[in-house]
Parts: sequence; structure tokens; C-alpha cells
Amino acid sequence: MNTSFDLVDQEVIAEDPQQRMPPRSALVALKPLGIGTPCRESLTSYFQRLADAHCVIPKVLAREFVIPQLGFNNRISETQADRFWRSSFFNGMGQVAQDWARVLGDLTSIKGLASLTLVPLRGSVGAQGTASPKRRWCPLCLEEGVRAGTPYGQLLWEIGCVTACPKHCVKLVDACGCPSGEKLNYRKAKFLPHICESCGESLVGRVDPELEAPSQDEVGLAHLVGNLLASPVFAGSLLEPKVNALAEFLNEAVRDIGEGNAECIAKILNVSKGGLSDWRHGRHLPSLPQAIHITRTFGATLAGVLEGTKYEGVQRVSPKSIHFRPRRAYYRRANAEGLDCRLEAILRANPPISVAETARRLGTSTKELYRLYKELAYAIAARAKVWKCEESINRRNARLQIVREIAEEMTAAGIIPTQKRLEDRICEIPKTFLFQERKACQQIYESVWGSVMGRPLH
Amino acid sequence: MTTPSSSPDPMRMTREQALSLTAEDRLIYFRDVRLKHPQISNVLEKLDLMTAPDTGTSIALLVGPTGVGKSTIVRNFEQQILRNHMKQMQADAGLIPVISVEAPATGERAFSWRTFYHRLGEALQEPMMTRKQETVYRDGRASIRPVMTGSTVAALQLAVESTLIHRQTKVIIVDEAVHLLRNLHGNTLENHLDALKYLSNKSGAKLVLVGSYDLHGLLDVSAQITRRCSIIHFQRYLPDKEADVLAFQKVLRKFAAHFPIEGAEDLPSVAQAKALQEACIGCVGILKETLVRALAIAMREGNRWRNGFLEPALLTPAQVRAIHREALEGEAKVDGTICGTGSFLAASRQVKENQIRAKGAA
Repeated sequence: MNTSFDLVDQEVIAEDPQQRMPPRSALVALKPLGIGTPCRESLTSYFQRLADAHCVIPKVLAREFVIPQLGFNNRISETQADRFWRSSFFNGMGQVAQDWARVLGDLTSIKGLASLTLVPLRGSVGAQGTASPKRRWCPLCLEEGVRAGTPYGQLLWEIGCVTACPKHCVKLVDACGCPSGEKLNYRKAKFLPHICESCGESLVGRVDPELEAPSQDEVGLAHLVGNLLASPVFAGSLLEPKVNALAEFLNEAVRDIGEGNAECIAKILNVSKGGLSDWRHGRHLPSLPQAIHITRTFGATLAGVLEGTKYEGVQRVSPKSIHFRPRRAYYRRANAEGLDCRLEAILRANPPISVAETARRLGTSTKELYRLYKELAYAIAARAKVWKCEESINRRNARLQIVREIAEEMTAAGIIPTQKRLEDRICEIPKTFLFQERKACQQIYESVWGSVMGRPLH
Repeated sequence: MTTPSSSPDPMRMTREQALSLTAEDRLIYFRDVRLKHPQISNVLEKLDLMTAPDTGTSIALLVGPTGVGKSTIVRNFEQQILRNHMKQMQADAGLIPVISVEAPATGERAFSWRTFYHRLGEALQEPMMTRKQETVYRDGRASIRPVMTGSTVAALQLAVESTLIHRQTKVIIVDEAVHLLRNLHGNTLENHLDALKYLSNKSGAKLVLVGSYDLHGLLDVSAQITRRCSIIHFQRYLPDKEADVLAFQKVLRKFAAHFPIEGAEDLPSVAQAKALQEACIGCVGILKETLVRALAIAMREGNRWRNGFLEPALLTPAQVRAIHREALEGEAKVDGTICGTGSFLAASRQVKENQIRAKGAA
């Protein structure tokens, strides 16, 4: 510390432009998690965490900040803004994913956010069926994230063909299991990767993953996709992989393994000759599971092929070793065993479930169920329909009862109950319900006012 | 030659160049001249030390008499931190190492935390401050509290905390912090300090509260707060200290070297310097204001300096009396509480005094 003032050189100091704050990013520079590992974060999870870092809900962030940058001419509502980031194609390989990653990158100054989506696979594999239509997660991964203080959603969970977690070897979960009575009003929903947006409870430890163990194939596929996400294909510098890499790989396989005979390779891959021809000539692109199957069949990896690794004549594959798709009849018989009992159990389940949910649980389609177990399927459907109707009536009555109670309170306080006042006071009932049931509500207001005040409302 | 609208840069302009400016620009030029005089360097060093990480101090109180140059030092300190973090800021576009806000005086009965958080948000370049929503955790369920108009204070607080963490802010400077002490009822002051302490603890940022000697009252709230606070005294140049008198003369000479009017070479005579130090109560800020006023008078009266212009620019005796009295009272108040004045002997004496007092009470 200076005690003698003579030691200090007096100098003129002024605002130096070099010492001013340089332009800062519009949004906080939140670092994406799991980069360079199979557990790479998804863009949906990143967007949710970014909104949470700014203490706003994602739809507000989307409407106020991101959508204006996307070049939309008309101002869109928050609900419309919600449709973008909650859609399954948000993490896909399309234009939406690319645009949002670019805009979020500009706003946060974080580079390479496109690697949080499947955009790096664009032009290499087909987009159909790549994204999972439902939100899924591994409870054990989320638990680890919560313990580390940074729970996040993985891109792996957003890929439709991945059904298991390669790290914990458990099946991915797609339902929190929250009963319908515990559901939150949509306006109160909290959107974070580790929180159920329906009931607001933590997704950690809600479902026991040991109940359903995945098959070896599922885990193997998850490993392969995970390795692909950890590969340099998804690194910032290689975001545009070779477009015809897979076609070239197939051409080399036809030349080296099939000795020029494409039909042999088509048989090995269990596809038609025409389909193989389309892939080889770039007329169609194989889907992600198909691309993985192709490369795995010939002892290579999809990451290696997309990185441009040359096919070096790996061990010749015998057609007999290839696992062909089972025929339909065999499939039907194999699945038929024990299905009757399970369907009957489902028929007695409380609360009843729909045929679609039944099909999902049994790993088949509704069409198959109706075809094979017509009576049981119709019975399940009828029971679910009746239950749904009852639920709907009960819910309506409960909500009207709340409306009545609030109207009574207002009347007791001398306030005339009106639709607008009710809307302001009631949070737990959606406004759409109040609008749809406005006539019934009006009757309630009149009856309550008449009974308490002894004179008609108007 | 610069246009009147653009502020002339004293760093890049000599006095001779400034002489060719218009009257208005010359005033702007001189107003922007800021000296890094010995007291500023001393206080900057202390501030640097107290705001260093892991020093145990979460709140530094910078106190001093009015017109001593507290606002100038805030700008200097801010620039110093920015200079130290320039490389990191270029690498990370989200980093804001320091923010500086003025504590609001909204005219309401109590201190407005809403306005304060809004100002912090603005300084942190935080968008959507009116759309912040609070997350409520109840019975293990997370939900947001929907609001129709504006953000609640709790939501604003959460947003500021979160932004401070994500922007990796190291220092928050609150100028005019005495506004925190206005209109206090009951244990309001304790609540205010708790809120500030919580903000500092949660975000890891150090708080620098800048204000007059009244800020010293914050130390009387509780021992816990006292332990975490450090007082940095920005002292005026005392007329009875030889070193201070010499330093003040140097300050005056330096100002004279930048005084943009012809004939100002005679300005720093020793006799005038001594008288000016007393008239300005030893405060460099007051000295500069006086010189700016004198310059304005001189330019109106013929564009040539005469020593007679200095007198009408001085503070009135009533003003000097009030400022001097407040400075003396303040100096007496902070005596023994300024950081760096601790000693083993003083500590032992205090402990003994407390023991005697405790016995007497028993």
C-alpha cells in the first residue's frame, strides 16, 4: 500500500475505448453439456436450460427473442412459438433444427449448437422416423445429472430407433406415471429436462427401470448410435459430412463382397434389389437404423463411413450369418403366446387403458390387435371409452362446482359474478373450459345471485 | 477540431490543441480530465485487495466526504477490472466481470428493491426483465407462478442471481448506497443487508457500496455483518499534513496544465493552493467543480484567465461549513474501523475493555 504520495505518478486518466465493455452476447453463454461423449445434450434440453437461466418460460424466450431472428414477418402467439421447440423435429436434421441452432448460437455466442441436433447427419441418412415422437429419458442418467447439479436431456433419447440407455443398460422411459388428478395447469408447467411437465415432479426415481430390461440388440444399437454422437462427425469442424459416403460404401461393398453382384448384397441386407439400387445411386437415403444395419453387417461403423474411412475389405460376410427379418406368420405366432392372458389382464386393469396404449405396451400395432383379438380389442376399447366419458363428466362437474363456489364467494362479497371476473380469479381451470361452458356458467351465476340476493341478476 | 456534439478526448489532446476548441468544447474537455492522484491510487489498491476472491469480505464499504471523487473512483475501478478481464471477455462473449449501478431513490417510503433489481438487470444486459417468472417448489413439485402483468420482486431477484452466476460477475458496485438507509423502520436495515449478503453469497460476487459516512451505520447491525464488511476510507487531503498539502499542490498543478484558457500558467501559486485546499475542504472533486465554474466565468468575461475569476466560483461559507462539519464528524466516526488499521495492541485493549464492561454490568 502506498503511504508516500510522492511515489505515485499523477496522470490524466480518461475513458479509453479499449477499456470499455466490448459488446456482450444477448443471452447468457450457457455451455452445452456432454459434448464429445455419447451423452451429448439435445437442443430441446439446451433451450429449456437457457430459458431457465433467464427465469422465463421457453415460449416467452422463443417468441420474444428467437422467432423475430428467424425472419417471420407476422408476430406469432406464444402458443404457436411453443409448437416449434416442443416438436419432434426440433432435434432432427431439417431446416427448423438448423435455423434454431444458428439463431441460438448467435444469441449466446456459443458455436456449433447444430451438433446438438441431427443436422450433421443431413444428406447422409434419411430423415424419416429418425426423431422420436415422444419425450423419453433414462432415469438413472437424470439421477446422475441431478447429483452433479446439471441434469440435462440427451440427444440419444430423441432418436427414434434408440430404445435403451447404453450407459446403464436400461430401457428408456416415456411416461412419468403421474395420475391424471395430479396434473398441473398448463400455465403453471415448468419445463426442464428432469421435471415432468404434466405434474411438476422430478423424473428421477419415479419409474423403476429394472422392471423392463432391454435386449442385447437394443443395447448394441444404442451403443452404436452413442458412438456416432461421440464421433468427430458431430464435432464443430465436421458439421457437414460427406453426402454420398454411404452410397460409396455400398458400391464398394457390391464390388468387393458381391463381386459385382448387387443382388447378393441386397439379400445380405434383406432389402430389394431396387431399394439397394436407389441407395447406391443416391436416389433415396437409408434411414438411420438402416444405415447402422448396413455398416454393421459389413463390419464397419456408421461414424467411420461418414468420416470418410475407406472400406478396406473387411472379413467376408456369409449370407447365412445375416439376421433376416422374420416372416409375418412367424411373427404372429411368436407374439400370440401369452397375449390372450395379458389382454384379459389389461381388460380388468383399473383405470382402463385404450387399445393404442395396449398395443404400445405389448409391442404391436392396434391394427394387429383388432385383427387377431377382435373381441378383446373391442371390449378394451369400449371400456376405455366409457371410462373416458365418465372421467370427462366428472371433471366437468368438479370444475362447475369450483365455479359455483367462487361465484358464491363473490356474491357474498357483493360482487356480481361475471365470466371475466371468474377468469381472473380461477387459476386451476383453463380459460377454454370457461369459454366452452359459458352458458352453464351463466346459469350458475344467475342461480347463485338469485338465491343469495333474492332478485334476478339482470 | 471536433464538433460540439462529440466529446473531446483529453487522452489524445494537448492543452494547446484544446485552446483552439469552442468555449463549449473546452468546458467538456476540462470536465473530462480526470487525475489519478495519490488518494485514488491508494483507494484503488485497497478496493482491489478487498474484492479479491477468498478474502472473506463480501461487502466493501467505500466512504468519504462529498465531492472527494467517489464517483470518479467507481469509474476507475470499473475500468481497472475490465482491463484485467479483457482477454477473458474476448474469449467469452457472455462474461460481464463488473457492473455498476446507482441505488435508487424513488421517492417511495421504503427502498425499492424492484427498481434496484431492474437496474441490476439492465447493467447485466439481461433481457425480458418484465417477463420473469418465479419457480415454486412445493410438495416436491416444481411449477411456475403465472403472472399477468410484470415480474414479481421474488422473480426479479431469482433472475438477477441466475444472471450474475451465468455472467460470472465478480464485483457489483452500488453507488449512492446511502439510499438503502433511508426511511428505515424496525429491522428493515437488517433485512436489506441480509438481502445484499444473500445476493453476494449466492452469486459469489463481491459488493462495493459507495456513499457518504452514513454508510458506517451498516456496521452496527450485527457482528455477522460486521465480520463480512470492510470499510475503505477515501480521505480528503488534510490541510495540517505536510504530505497532503504537497499532494494537493501537485493535483492543482496538473489541473492547471490542462486548463484550456490563455494565461492560466499563473494558476498554481503555493499561496493560492493552500487557500484553495481550505476552500475546497481538501476534496479534489470540489476543486475540479470550482475550476470548471471559474473556467466558464473566464470564458464569458473575455477568454483570458485572471485570478479574480476563482473567487466567485468558490463554495459559499455556509456550504464550506456544512461540508467541513460533516467530513469531521464522518472522520471521527470511521476512526478505528478502516481496513488496514488493526493491530495486536488495539485488539487486546478492546478485549480488556469489553471484559471490564461485562464485569461492571454483572
